[in-house]
Amino acid sequence: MHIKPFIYVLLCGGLLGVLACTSQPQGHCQVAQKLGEAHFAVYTPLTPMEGAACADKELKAERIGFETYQLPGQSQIGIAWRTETLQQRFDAAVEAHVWSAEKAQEESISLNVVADYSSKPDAENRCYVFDDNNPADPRSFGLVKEFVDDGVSPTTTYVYEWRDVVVYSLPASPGQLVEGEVSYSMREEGGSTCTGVYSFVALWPAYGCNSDEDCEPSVRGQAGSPINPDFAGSLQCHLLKAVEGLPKEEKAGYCTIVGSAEALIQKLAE
Amino acid sequence: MHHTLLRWARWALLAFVAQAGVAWAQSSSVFVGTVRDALNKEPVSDVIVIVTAPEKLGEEIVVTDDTGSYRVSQLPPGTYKLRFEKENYRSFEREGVLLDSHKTLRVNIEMAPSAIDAEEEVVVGRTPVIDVGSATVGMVANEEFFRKIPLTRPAYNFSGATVFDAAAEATPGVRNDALGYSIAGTTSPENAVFVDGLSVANPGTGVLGTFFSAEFMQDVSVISGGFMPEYGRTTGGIISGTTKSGSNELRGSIFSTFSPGFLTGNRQSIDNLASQYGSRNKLLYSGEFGFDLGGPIIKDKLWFYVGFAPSMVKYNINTWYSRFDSERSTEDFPVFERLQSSVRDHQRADNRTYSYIAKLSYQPASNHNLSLQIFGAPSEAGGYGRWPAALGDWSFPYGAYQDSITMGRVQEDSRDLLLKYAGSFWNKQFLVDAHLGWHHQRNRFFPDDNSKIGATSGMSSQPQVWVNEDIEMTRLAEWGHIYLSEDDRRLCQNNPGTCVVDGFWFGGIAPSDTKLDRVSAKAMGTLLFQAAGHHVMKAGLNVDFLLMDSLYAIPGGRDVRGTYGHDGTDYYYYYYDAYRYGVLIGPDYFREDPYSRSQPKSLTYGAFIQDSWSIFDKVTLNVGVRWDQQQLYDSSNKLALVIANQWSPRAGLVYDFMQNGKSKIFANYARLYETVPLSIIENSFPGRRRGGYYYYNPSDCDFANEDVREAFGRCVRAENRYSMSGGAPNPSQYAFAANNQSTLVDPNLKAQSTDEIVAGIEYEVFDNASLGFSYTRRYMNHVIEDMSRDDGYTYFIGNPGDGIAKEFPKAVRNYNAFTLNFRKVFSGLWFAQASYTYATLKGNYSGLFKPETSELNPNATTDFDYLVLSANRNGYLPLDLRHNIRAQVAKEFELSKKMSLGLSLSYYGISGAPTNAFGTYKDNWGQVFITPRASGERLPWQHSINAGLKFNVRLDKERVLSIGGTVFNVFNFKAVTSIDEQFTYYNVFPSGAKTPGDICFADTCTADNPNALRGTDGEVLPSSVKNKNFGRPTSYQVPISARLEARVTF
Repeated sequence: MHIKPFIYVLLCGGLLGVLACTSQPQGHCQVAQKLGEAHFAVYTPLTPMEGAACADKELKAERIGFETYQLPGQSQIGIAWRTETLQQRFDAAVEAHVWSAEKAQEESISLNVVADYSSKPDAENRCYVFDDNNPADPRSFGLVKEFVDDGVSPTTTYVYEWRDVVVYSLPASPGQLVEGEVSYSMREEGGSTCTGVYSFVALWPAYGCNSDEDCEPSVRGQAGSPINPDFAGSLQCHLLKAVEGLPKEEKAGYCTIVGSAEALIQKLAE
Repeated sequence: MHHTLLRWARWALLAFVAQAGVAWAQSSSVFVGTVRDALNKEPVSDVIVIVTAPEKLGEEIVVTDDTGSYRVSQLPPGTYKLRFEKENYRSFEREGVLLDSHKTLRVNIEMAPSAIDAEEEVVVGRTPVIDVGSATVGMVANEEFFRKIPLTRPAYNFSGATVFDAAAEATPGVRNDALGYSIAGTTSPENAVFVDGLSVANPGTGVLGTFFSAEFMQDVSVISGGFMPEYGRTTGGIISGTTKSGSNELRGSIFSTFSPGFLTGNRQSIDNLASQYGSRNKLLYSGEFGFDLGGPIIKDKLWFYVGFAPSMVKYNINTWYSRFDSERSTEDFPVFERLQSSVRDHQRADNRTYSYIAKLSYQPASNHNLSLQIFGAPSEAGGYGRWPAALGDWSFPYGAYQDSITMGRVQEDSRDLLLKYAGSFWNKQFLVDAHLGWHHQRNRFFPDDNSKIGATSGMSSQPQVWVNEDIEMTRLAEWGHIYLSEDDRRLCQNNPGTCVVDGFWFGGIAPSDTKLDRVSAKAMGTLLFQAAGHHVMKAGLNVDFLLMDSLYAIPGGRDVRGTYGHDGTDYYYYYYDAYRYGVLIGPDYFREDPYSRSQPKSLTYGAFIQDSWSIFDKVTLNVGVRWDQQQLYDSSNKLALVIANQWSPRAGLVYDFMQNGKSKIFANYARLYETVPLSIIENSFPGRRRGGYYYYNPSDCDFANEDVREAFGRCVRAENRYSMSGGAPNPSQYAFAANNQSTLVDPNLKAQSTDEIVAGIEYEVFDNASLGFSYTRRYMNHVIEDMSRDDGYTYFIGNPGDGIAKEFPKAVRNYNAFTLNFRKVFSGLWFAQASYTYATLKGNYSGLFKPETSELNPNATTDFDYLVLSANRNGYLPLDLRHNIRAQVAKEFELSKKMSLGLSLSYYGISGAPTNAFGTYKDNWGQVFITPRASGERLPWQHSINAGLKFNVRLDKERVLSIGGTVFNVFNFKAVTSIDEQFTYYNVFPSGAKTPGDICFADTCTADNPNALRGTDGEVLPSSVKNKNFGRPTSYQVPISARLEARVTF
């Protein structure tokens, strides 16, 4: 037997405890995550790239994998993510360099953006990504991820500068929607730098589709997409390539939400 | 969710299956009545009523009031003498009145004025048998009942003793589930189980925690319905035992029961058409011996009672491997031939339990009683080269493919400490009952070599390895895991593919150590007063604090799953660290912990007030309300879950329509709330944090041939890691982690509760015998469960069908039962009880225990995990019993003044349970209802007739010797008690087929057929995916067995 719990009884078992403890405690900030799965982000240009050379370099949509870290017993948690664009370039680089497994593991970690993460959501169910250097205004800093891909010709430098990244975390949707802004630039060796600024919204899980119907969530006893059923009616298939001629096991795009994440979450919280 | 539990459940199921509130003070019984003048029938006031019994310390004296009424409360169960005295009247006595616990008996008498020259006292009052004070249904088994009626066959639930909760076996409408008794259609963890008012349930899961012998019980009452507010915190039934106490006479007994194996029939052997492993067990012996003794330390002041009873069970186990005989087999019916050299006979499994009690009773003043007691039932199962025979996760024998040296050992310590006070004030008009109790359990599981958590040598330090693919038995023999003779090896090698097991488990054993505590404080006041009739008003407070401290370790720090491949010339091994305990503290940085520790806590507090109003002493109206609140805390003492607003209204009406204690009609309504067991915190706030890495090395890791620890030291290196992300941009490409986050809770979560309506009629058909008919209805209001709204990626806790879980079907469990019950109490040398219950149990939710998959995971079962699997789930539940007959008769023959012969006969009949066709989802079997629930054929009826014979010899005035025995299942009925309900081990969706026979396959129907069996990829599956063993028996009734008994009482 431990003595501490008994002290606890005295503290919360009294009348004060009864009155103070009738509502559910607020949960931690969460992000939906699983090895092999990711969110799917769609970018909307705020400041499009300039120049004809950048015409096909625009950031459109990609999968983003998030992950949180928490030391047992500590409320401070960390968050990391990486984009599919970088992942694909990296996988190609691993092959090109014939890196050993150890070297690949070492290099792989450098693809991540790592930051601090709110421990509890605010009144609007928002969890913020920030760093310790500027705790006063968690949304006012940029997270820069620079990746130089020198393995595959042409050597390309990518820079993502993330801003105002917000994860919505509530029991009805534990970290399934993420939104924010990113300034993205890429420069191929010998070419000019293409830079654009985008807002994005990311939906969990990245679920392959060929049509909007594919995105309709499972309902009672009827198979559908594994997307939160509260988002039904606000989903569409974001095509990345043509549906025609695709092999059966391949999908042309991923599901995404119509409109803003904030609006959807507000509807949920009502 | 909760794969660990499922894993255990799988092993438990693969194994041969053996066979298929708050009670306040225990001095809770009451006498009421009216005294009238025999001549003018007028009430007589100021009659002195003296109540005595051997079981009661001292005597109780009350006086009748102006209406001639009297009431004697706070009585312990016993056989009473009531004496009525008044000047100018002849004294009146009534002896041998049997009063069970929690009962109110009415004893109305008429007193003859002494002026009348009567020759003898006119006995108008008679021994009443009907409880006229409450609408409670159930039964009470007293000491005599336990002695005379055989309960629980030998080695039931691996116990050599008859455990006190066995009283439930004789209760109308009760059946057993895999872990205990199902009362009124509920599951065993929902029951409240008390010894002397202290809950002895496991704080982690709700199942029975102290397997205490019935030998030390004065009586055990089973309440299956009609609850007053003083009973709460259960959605099942109440099993409440009262232990014996010392009295002014030195009394005791020495007893022994023994069931030898040679008096036990052979078990029906079970052939699994999908498995090439077989096992069979046979009881070697089962028995209990011990003593108890009670008496005075200071006469009329201080008494003691002590008892000790070790009990044990031992089995012999055979295991073997079989070869597939391709020549004699047909497509539907494979034939297996036992490989004789693989047979391992003379393996042992055992269980040893030691029940003990020591109790001091103190009466400082005539109206005040204090008692202090300690009791428990520690047990040990397995060890010294034997398998553990114990209930729960480690039920024996595993019966699955595993190296026989991976044998576990179970130690379960339970101990209870209780201080009680009962007193009366204001001329017995105000009564006070209070107790402070502590229930403690420590459950440990560790390898047979005694190596514990954190050991650096022994089986706890060896990695556990599961091979999940088909393996040739010859390989296992080469590696030394099984034995095959040269001839058998050759036979297998000459017929490749015929000697294959579909998986194997070897290496270390996962040790665990769980401490569980409950500290319980209760206080209740009872006020007796008159206002338009008599009132008994009770009010009470109750605080329960639950605590768990559990350690789980993975042997050797890792649990390895692997697959053998064949590259054309040789086998290679492809494996992954299935998991280790630890936490992901950064991208691809998994910090290992030597073990996982979880320390959930819970605090429940509540209060109730109730009034039992005997309106003008014609009709009793019971009304009241109970309020409880529970708060659960995680390991870091943070509030995790609040179960608030548990308002339970109760109302009942009892009318003794003949007004003589011989009849009643009654009705009662109650709302019952669940106390959430701690395991939900252990598993979801967060669950046990674990994870690991995947490794791949085809050439360097032949650990099956050498010390696994050394092999892993070489293989588990960063350069052998490989990414399982499949191209997904995960920050950790190599490490994976589970349970990093606590589960979120619906902010509007409502407490789990059930409503109950009971109504009935009871009538004393002749002296000492009553006939009753009752109806019980129960239904669920809200249920607390974990669910996923994104197909198993993220979970939350909520109420299915409500709040943020509105898309999920509401949890339904509707129980309707009609019971006809006859009971003749022990008198005139005979006893009889018989009941027939017709009950239906329908819905989509069984309760805190999920019988379909043997999943004990209260409030977080897999019942509502996936929205897509909601189809086909409504129907008759596994515990639907339909027809249930219980009958017991006992008769005593007096052979001479000193000798008597006791005969007993009992019959239990229960109609078969419904069956299902299950599919697998996300690799968890038993999750998909391919066809509607209960669409399989019902199992057959189970009948069992038990007969007992006992000689009683009175050695002298005090001492009696009894020798006898009971034969269980006299006619050796061997009905099938369960079948293999797993239709396929492939991941599938529910189909449109109405019965398992209607399911069609790619080779038997077209893809657009709604009855087609569809995999989760949408494709129609071929008939080869059907489990060959589907529908075949997996367990039978336990065969005939006998228990011999000897006892000396003094």
